[in-house]
Amino acid sequence: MTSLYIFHIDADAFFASCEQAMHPELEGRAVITGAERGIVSSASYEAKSQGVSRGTPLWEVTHIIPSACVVASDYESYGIFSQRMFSILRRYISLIEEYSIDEAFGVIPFRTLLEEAQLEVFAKRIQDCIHRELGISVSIGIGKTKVLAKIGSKYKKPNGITVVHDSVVPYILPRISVGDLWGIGSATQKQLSEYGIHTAWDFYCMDELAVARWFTRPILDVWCELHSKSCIPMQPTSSHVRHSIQKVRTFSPPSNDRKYVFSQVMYNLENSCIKARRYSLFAKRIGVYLRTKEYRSVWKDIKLTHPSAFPTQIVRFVSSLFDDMYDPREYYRSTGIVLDDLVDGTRLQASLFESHENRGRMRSLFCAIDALDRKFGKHTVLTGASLPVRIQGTHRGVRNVRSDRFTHRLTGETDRQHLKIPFFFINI
Amino acid sequence: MQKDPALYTKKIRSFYHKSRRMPSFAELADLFGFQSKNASAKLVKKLVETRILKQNNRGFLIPGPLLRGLKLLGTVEAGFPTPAEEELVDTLTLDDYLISRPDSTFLIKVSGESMIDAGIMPGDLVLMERGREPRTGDIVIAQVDQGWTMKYYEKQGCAIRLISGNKKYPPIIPKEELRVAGVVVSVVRKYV
Repeated sequence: MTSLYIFHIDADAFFASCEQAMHPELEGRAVITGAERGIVSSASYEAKSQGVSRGTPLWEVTHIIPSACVVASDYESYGIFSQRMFSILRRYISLIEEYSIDEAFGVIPFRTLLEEAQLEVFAKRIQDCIHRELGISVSIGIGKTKVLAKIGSKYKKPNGITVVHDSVVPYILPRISVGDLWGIGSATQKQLSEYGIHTAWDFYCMDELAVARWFTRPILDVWCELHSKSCIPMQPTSSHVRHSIQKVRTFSPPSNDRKYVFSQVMYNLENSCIKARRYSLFAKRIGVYLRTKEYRSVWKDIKLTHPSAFPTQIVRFVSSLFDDMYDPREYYRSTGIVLDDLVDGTRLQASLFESHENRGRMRSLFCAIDALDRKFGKHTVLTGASLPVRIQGTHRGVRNVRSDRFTHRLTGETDRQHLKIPFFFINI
Repeated sequence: MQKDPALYTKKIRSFYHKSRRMPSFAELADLFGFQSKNASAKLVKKLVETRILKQNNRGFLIPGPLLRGLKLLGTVEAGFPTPAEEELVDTLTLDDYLISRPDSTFLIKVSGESMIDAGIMPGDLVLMERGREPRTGDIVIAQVDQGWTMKYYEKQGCAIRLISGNKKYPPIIPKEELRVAGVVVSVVRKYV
């Protein structure tokens, strides 16, 4: 009999673990990343056990754990660790879905029931290999479906392995809040609690027809997956097609300076256009997003008159959206840009209202700007509107902290281009 | 899954680099995550058509003319050019040459002089393979009694000694603890 098993591999306190793997003197210590943002972006288990979690302001951390080691994020190295982790996983499991920077799903066909006993041994081997070669720990959940596998990886952490067999479902589910299930958001959780559904077990015991009648399809899928019926397919990452590009940035402290907030929007616009041009993509729609200090979000989008990846062309659309949305009484904490309906820029036809000559000039202008950026670093040339970001910075009041990888420049490395190998920082 | 033929070629090439032979159909399926060998057969048919692969009379794969990386120039003897490609010479990048296991390799900047007789100078970069089992004669990165060090590893029976590549420093015999983080696989020095 052939039955499929889904593995969910989730790195433990990923960013903080990477720091500990690169800086052996940090092993066993409370490590916090996010020094450049003013809030905790990842906390090692040593720090978590003392009550620090993601989002805690750093001044609070120094009160709770005076000896904590707070470092600036080094996303470049974290990205390499992530790729290496997926590459190690592919040695063991051929079908891998890279679900996020620090977690993946994998599918294993087991041909006999006898081999079920070996699931844990197999998972242990993967876990050991990642730990030996990368120096980070992962937790692994195994189940018949993605939802069950995800329950498993969360159940014992860090460095845990949990097989969610049908027989253990009645013991595990009552201990899990229904809101902690993968795919159940806070709105659904609220709705469920009105029906008296609080734990995952309550949800499991609901009647399928009732779930189907009262909730949307994705919620029914979660219910089915809890009952070992696989509904959420694997999405192998290699066939990934880009449909939109988003850039969102948070700044601190929140601001009500219209010029500054707009410059943050523009900075995101320039960033997303750089990315679009790198893949020769042009956007047909543009969206602007603003978020206030109280975490209220406003969002608007508009169709462009012709596809573009040039901020100087798109700015008038962005600025009219911004004028509609901006409220001078509010303080804003983050802004974002979405380039949507992307099309292949190499095969575009000139539109009626855009002269050929104009677009040719725009192309050669930005070709030159991209070349300068490659040579001297990103944002060497930027629009005047995003200048306030450059002058005032994004996180005021926080010291301009940089990761060790950024300050350890090797001969031949530039600001933008580093060797794709992480450091092991020791003194020898 | 992967639509780009260049990706297929790259993976098959690196398989060939590593194992010095072409993959079987089952290994192809493994390489690309196919569920069956039948899928491999379909892929092979395509790659044979595009002259990336060839098959011998028993159906085994052999490299086609378009599989290779950079061509080497043939040696010229008595006016007859010998195309090097007949020899199946392939090229390695410096990355492939210096790094054998890319997933577990880390950079370390050297500051001390303890391996100076081994040609490792202050300011050099060494590449360490993390978690590799050390053998006598290897240069290891190890933590001994609280401090990190780079030394030759020597094991006789159960006794382990760490010997420095600098006559000024005596060998270290770990008293309390010894933890080998990895083995140095290569040294890089860049001048300009």
